[in-house]
Amino acid sequence: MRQYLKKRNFDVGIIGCMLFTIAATIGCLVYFRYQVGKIPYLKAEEREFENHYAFITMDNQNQFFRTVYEAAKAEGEKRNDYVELMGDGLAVDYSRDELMRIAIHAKVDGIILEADENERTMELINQAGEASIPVITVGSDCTGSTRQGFVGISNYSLGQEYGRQMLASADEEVQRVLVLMNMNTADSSQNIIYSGLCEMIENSDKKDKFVIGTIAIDDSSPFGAEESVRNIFMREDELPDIMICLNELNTNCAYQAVVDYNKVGEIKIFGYYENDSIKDAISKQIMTCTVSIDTEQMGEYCIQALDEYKETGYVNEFMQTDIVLITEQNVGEFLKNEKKDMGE
Amino acid sequence: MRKKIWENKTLSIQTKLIMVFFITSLIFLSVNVFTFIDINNLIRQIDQVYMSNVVMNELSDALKQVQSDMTDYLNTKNSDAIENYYRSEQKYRVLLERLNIRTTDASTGLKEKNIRNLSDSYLEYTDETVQSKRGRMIERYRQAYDNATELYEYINTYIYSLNNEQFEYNSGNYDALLLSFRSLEFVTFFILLIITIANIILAGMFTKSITKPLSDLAKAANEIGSGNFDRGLIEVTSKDEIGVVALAFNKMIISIQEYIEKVKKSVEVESAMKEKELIMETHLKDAELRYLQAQINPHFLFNTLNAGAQLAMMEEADRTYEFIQNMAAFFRYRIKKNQKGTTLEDEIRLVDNYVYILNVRFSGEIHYEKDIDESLVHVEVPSMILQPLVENAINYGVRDIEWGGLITLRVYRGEEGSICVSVKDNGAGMTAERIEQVLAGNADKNSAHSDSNGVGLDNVKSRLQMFFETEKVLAIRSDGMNQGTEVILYLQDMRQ
Repeated sequence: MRQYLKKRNFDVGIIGCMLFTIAATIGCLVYFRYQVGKIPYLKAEEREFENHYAFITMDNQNQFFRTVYEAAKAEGEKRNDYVELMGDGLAVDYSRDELMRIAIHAKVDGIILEADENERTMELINQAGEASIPVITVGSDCTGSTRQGFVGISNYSLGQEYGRQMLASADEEVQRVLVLMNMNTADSSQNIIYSGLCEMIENSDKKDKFVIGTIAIDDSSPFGAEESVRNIFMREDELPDIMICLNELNTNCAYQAVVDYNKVGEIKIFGYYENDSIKDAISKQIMTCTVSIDTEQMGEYCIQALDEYKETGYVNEFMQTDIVLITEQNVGEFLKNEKKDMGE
Repeated sequence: MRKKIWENKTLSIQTKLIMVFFITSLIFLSVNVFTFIDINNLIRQIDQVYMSNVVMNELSDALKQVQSDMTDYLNTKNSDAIENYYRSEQKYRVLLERLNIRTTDASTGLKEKNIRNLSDSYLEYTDETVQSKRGRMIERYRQAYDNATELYEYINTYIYSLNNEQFEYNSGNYDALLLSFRSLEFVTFFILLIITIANIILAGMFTKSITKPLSDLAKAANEIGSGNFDRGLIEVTSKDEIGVVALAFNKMIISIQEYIEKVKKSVEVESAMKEKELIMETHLKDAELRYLQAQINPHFLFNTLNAGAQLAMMEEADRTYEFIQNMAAFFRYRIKKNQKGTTLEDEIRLVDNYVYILNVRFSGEIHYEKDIDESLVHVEVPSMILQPLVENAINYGVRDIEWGGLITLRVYRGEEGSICVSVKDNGAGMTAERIEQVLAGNADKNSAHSDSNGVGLDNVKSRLQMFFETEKVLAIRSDGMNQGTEVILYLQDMRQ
């Protein structure tokens, strides 16, 4: 019996030892394969899309259009469309027109374009049309082209909104209002805003309280806009009481100059678009108000328009996106939403 | 299968050892093969890492070749140039086939798609350029050439950017693969460590199963060597060389145990025989003693004397009565002490009775003196040792002398601590030769007087020697003829 037990222990020991060895070897090799499996090269997952849309802006770094692009991309993913920010990740910084040509020759399924009224732009849009590529303009339009539709805000309404804010801030003294307009902008949107603003003041009973003037900001050269804005502050006797900025860059420059020249409280700034520093400035009462455009809605509309055109061959020529005026009263909500987004 | 082979007890040690090495080596070999397969896979993957860059470089070279060949043709318009153009264009088209055409969310995949589509447009322009050149449509080929060159630049930029992007991506993969190599190193080391430990344990278990019987055998041999023949047999679990030796060893143990058993039995028989012999010798001695004591049997005389004493008392013959009483005491003592030891005191009393009787017989011729150390008289002695000496002193010493005979009895402590009993007479004396003869036991027994009670000097000597288990029990001294004789007994106090 003792011998049988000893023999059994011996066999159990040998088999256990060998099983342990085999298990350890297999375990280690599985662990190793798992480690190798974690290499992205080996498990690059791609999603295939039905349509390839090109998103082309004048400046890919522009925050406003980047958020529009992100919204368009997100909407596209829902609809099985991939939206490419043309020029992004290329070694050469191509102009919008060049990117447009690339997109046409790359035979994309649709183009979302930050357009202008330039003739060259019109030609390119028409060229895309000839290549059966639908074009949707966004933010600014190219009215004479064969583009399929435009997604943007109503500049006239925006001008009127600025006018309403001016009237709300009117007092006994006459105020000088300076509208900052870009020198090289080929589209008519600034003019329409300006006319909407003027019309609102003209039709009010406080039209005598405002003297409205414009200044051309040179944005053709790097840092030109900033220099042009600072030049305004150099002429102490001609300083305006209200400055109305019609793009994001001018808004930032004006806000910075007011702080630098210690004119906070003396000059009211009506901004355009929202970013962190602009919202911060409003909350600190450095700026009076700014216009927030629903960029998500803008991006979604672009994709919806392209898909609709591809499906039906027709699309609304103008899809208006909502604007919200951010003032000291409601800036808190926007800051709260921003924090929430960051938290997510 | 392995178990059955191992259980096959007829396997030789050599085969078993080869099996141990074979099994452990097989495990090592298998693990190494697995590891090498993994290493090879990894190396193949590393080889593939930069393959996409190679493809991009080939594409870029082919594109440059197309552009260059087209330009050559535009410059020279010869048949070689157009052949070269078509060849490079064909090659470029083949390379383009490798690129992705699907719309994906992978940046590289999308760039490949753009390159492919841009290249299609580009090749349309180059074809148009070449065809227009052939057709001498100058304006058209210039326009087509400009368009082609513009696209050529765009494609180049895309290829360059894609190449960079892939390089960055591939470098990341390369780093990851290197990390994998590190983890493979670690895993391999760990596996080898485990295998080594397991192999040591396996080899230990196997070799122990082989050498255990050998060490048992050695232990058993040591025990046998140190004289422990009663240990059990060793267990024989295998039929290999050690098993054979163990079986032989067990047979040897059994043989030794049987032999020892035989020797033990013969020794026992021998010692029993010796014991029997000794008992017989003792019985013989005892018989001899009994025979000697039986020579004196005074029952009848004692009873007669008692009757005489009673008669003398009735007749009021006091001296006769006393004489008969002494006689009776003498024979009573003989009856009582005949078969066992007595004390020196009783012996002396017996001598007193005996001398009284003789003095009555010989009219008081024998003078008798005693010098007794009373502290020594309680020593145990064989019976009837003094009376024969006194009898001899009277018979051979003082009976026939002309002068008055004197018997002196002394008891004293000797020089060597023994108790000396001296019976001395002033009679005929003995020569030295006669003393030697007497001590040697060669005295003429026939010369003994007819009235001797039968207990001679030899008897006394023999009994003393047996009683005290020593040779020196008796001495005879005499200065010569007519100088008297002294017989000395050397007694020992057995109580001490």
